[in-house]
Amino acid sequence: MIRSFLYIFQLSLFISLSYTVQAQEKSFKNLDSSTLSLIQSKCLRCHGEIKNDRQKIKGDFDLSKIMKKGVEFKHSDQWAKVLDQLEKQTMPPEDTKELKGEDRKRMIDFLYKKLNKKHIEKRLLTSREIAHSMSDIFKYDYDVYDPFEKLHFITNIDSRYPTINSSSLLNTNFIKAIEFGMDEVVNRFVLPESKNIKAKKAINPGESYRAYVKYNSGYVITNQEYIDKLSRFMKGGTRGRTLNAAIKAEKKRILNLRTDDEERLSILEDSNRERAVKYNFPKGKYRISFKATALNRKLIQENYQRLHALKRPTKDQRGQIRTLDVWERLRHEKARLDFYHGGSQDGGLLAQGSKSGKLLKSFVIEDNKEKNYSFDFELRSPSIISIKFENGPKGGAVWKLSLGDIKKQSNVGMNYGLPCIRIIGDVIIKKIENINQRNDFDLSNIGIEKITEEYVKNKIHNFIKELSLENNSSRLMGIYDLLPKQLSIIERYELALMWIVNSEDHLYVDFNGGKSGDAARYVSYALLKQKPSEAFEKYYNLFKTKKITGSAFASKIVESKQFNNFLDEFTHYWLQQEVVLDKRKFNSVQRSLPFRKETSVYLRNIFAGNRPVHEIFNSNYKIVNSSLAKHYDLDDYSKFDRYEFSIIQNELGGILNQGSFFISQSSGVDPLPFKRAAWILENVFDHKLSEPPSDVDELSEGDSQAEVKMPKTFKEKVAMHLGDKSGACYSCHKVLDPVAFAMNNFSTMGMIAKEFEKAPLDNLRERITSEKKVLASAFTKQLISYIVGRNTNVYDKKIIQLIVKKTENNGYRVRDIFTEIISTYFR
Amino acid sequence: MNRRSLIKSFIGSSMLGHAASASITKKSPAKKNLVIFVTGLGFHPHSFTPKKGTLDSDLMSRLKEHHNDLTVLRNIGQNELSRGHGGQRGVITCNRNQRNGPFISLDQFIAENITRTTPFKYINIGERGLSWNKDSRAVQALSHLTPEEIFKELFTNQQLPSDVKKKLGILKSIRTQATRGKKNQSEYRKILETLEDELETEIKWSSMKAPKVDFDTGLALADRHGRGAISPILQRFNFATASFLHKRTNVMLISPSYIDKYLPLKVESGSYHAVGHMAKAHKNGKVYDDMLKIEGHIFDCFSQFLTSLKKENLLNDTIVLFKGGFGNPGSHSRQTLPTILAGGGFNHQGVIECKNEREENIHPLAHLYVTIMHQMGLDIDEFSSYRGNLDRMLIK
Repeated sequence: MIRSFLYIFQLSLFISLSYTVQAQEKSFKNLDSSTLSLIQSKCLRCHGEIKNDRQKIKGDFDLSKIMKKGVEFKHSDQWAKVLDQLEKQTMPPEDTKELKGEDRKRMIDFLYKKLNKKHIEKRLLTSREIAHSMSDIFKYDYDVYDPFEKLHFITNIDSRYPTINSSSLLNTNFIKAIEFGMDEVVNRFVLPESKNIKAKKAINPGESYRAYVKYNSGYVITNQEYIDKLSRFMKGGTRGRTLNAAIKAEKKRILNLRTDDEERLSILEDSNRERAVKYNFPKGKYRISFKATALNRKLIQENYQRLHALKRPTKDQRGQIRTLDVWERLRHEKARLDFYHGGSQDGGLLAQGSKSGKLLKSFVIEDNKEKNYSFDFELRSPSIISIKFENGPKGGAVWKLSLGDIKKQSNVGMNYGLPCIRIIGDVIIKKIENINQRNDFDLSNIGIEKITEEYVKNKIHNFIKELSLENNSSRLMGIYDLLPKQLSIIERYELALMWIVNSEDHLYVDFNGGKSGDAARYVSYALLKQKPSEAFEKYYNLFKTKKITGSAFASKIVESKQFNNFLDEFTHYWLQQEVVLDKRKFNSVQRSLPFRKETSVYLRNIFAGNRPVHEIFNSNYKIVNSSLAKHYDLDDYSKFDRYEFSIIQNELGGILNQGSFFISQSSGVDPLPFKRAAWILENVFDHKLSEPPSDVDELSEGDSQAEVKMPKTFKEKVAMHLGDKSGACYSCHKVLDPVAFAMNNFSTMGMIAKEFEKAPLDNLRERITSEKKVLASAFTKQLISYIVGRNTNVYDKKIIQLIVKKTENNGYRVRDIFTEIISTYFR
Repeated sequence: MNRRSLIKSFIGSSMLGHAASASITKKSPAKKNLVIFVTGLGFHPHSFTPKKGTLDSDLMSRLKEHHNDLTVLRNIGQNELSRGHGGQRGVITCNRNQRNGPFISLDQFIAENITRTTPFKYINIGERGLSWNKDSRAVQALSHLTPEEIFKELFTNQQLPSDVKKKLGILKSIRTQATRGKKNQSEYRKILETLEDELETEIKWSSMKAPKVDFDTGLALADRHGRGAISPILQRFNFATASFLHKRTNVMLISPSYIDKYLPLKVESGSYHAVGHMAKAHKNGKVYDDMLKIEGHIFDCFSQFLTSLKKENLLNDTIVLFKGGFGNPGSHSRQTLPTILAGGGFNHQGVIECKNEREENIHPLAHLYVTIMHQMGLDIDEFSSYRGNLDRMLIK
């Protein structure tokens, strides 16, 4: 009886419950449609409604496009922007009918509920991800050789972050550029012997050769050049004639020293590129040794004292005033010999994709003391070694010695022995070791009889494994089998390698691909920007199966060398580093300052030390080398090394005080304080302004030629923006201008401007320190976007809030945030 | 023929018009050729804009002998664009949303929607940021090449048909294998098929003899900063004449190279850029004269181009759209844009007034573009969401 009663009770409960659920669903559907109509009435009116054949799209945001079929997940990123506005109560704007509090909440809840879905999109690899992977597999040095330049060009054609909207990237040119790059790779590193990159001759291990540097023939590296330059300043008159005679004598003496040059290998002197050697050193491991001393350095001291006594600024070759501080800097620097990678040459032209300029070794040469110097290096492909005489900080080298002043003093010129480095004897180049096998897919040094079908198929299989594409092995192996049989085995092998790289299986990464290894592949490309190594896959699996913590995995990632790839790519797109400094306004020294490296090193330090987010933007230290220290006008710049970066206390720390930021947000000629401010608002304070009206010509700031009716000075502009509170400019500029004021303190390259106003800058710094939560939220948003490769959406918004909450206690630390992102999306 | 030369030959022409195939299925060959000339700076309203109802202006007088073969679209404008450098991408796209797209430029739209009967779908020797493909991405241009290199790309880079056939065979095998088991309509598969289409067309063209073109490519100049190789304006026009004469393409976009100083013209008031931007140049006799020297030079070259088209009997089959990127370079305004339509078998009117008495745009620029497309043989009603055309006035 009791049982039957219970049964009836359960049945009635079930009926009533199901009725309730149905009723709820019905009411939810009603809620759906009513909320939609609410959005239409409140938002669409200004964002996409068509009236009298004219469409109204305010703030460049067209809702009608994404509302054709109601609220869909594919537009989740757009809806996230709507949510932003609703939550901050900035939309609808004040001048339209207000949205009631409950309606606003209903809209917000509805959007969160409807679009709450974690999603990682399948995406195309970026050009740099492909390039990094290939350099890893084929074991070449990415810093000196990059065969995928065409691909980078196509990818960067409109500066969008390549993994966002990557579907539009894939086109015939993309495929062709990969094919072209792979052709270069196989030609250099797979073919039995490189066909077009020649080496002068084979050097056997243990054998030594003497090297001469240009025509100075192992004597004094730079005397000849100095005399040539000197002659330009000393034309005419007795002094000139005396000097000419001296030059002739010196030339003759040097030429007589050249005896058996033909037997020697050349080292290219950097400053005389047109006389470039035609041959490369063969691949291998080398040791270069020489004995040298720096001479006549006292000239620098003497000249400094003499000019100091004159108290007169001098002019350099460009006619620009140079002050005594150049000499001040010279006094502190020792002479140096730098050995560079000089690129590869092919019959007089630089070989495709080769990059020169990688520093192999920099020697400080002692004054007036003969000393032996030696270093080892490795060449993975035939290439040139170049050498550079550096006797001062960049831009202050002695060859720019202001001889105009010497000229004015009687008989001074010839009294000075010129500062130089003397190499005693020869530069000895010794090959320590051959590199026979360049990589696992190399066919060099393998007897032709060994290259059978079975042999190459085995290699192809390994190649597929290297790319972590074993899941698709049968399909990819088939490429070789299907290639026309009239091609040779080697040709089919190369084509197979090229087309495996160019296959759909390789070009896309899909986190949710469903096969083992798909997720690891995706994560490796997301965080290290290259294919996963075996060790990475193992470690990732440990992380995924929760055998190690998210924090341990994140630390491993951050510590790895490849994380630099991520940081480089992240900062490049985040800071929008596309602006190139104008050649007419900035000299080559200014243009070559290592700003990008500064930002990269700084961020690496932040990640490695798990520093708080606000330190990214504002800190009390800088990480610089000597040239940057000078650029930022730091007092003790002479203590810094030319190449090594080190930390110094400075109140203008953080990326908002770094050259790379200032240059990115400039026109390349003039600083654009409003553009800087807009970037800061969006990326630091998470306040994205709507697009400026199209009649705002940002490039005309400072363009004195344009007689546009625009206010000229910064202050006039601010006055115009804020003068009329009902004007179009006011709503954005009331937020923008205080930040712009702070940014107006810095020149195009970030030097402190003449009219420095401290108060706005202090306000900005204080705001950065006080709004830590907002900063954390904005940075998390950016990181998610660049890691997952798409714009953040509604789901991400929730995640951002969660991460910010979780990391609050520890002070919003960068690696904590990074860890949370990885754990949320990739576990 | 080995693999290396195959690859090299395949990639050689990658900067030319081999973009993905069009989305419209029904295509027909182009009825006319189209050349679009855009100079970014545009022309000063005082020198260009003819008096109402006439062709009377300082610059138009330079085209006197062609007045019967052209129409000036007086005061034609783009409501969607006003001022600013960023608006350049709207000049031949007419896009309302200048930053985010989607948009496609007129030349690309036409190239995508005609059957290809020439080696190149389009040739772009224009400024960067003018031409945009169907993915709203900037189209690569040949502008950075030297005249010799452009010439080589257009007229002498030809492959052996046997090589291309071999390459096609390889590509087909690869496509079959690399896409086995994949979705039939994947984007990747489409791209490979497009590559095959290109090679098939290549086979057709490579089996034809390369034309002998009598053309002076030795006119390269370097600008005052030593930036790249640049060529005089006339040379670019000559590329167009030769390309149409030897049927290299049906669609071409050209711009003058960015020469700051026209040295032979002895302009003293400043660079072209500086003089061009003087909003009040007409109030300063010397500056105005200098500006006229430069602008007049461009018009003289244009006049010679029209003459050469006539001489080769090409004018009737070639639609020439001559445009300035600004209506008033001084204020960066695009309210009215210097626009001349020439040749192309149109019913030329002399002048069409595009604004009414209340200064409203009655014929927006996009209407002209629709008419041009009609004349090219495209069956299309709108461009960049603008419906309407100027057929009634311009098409016989």
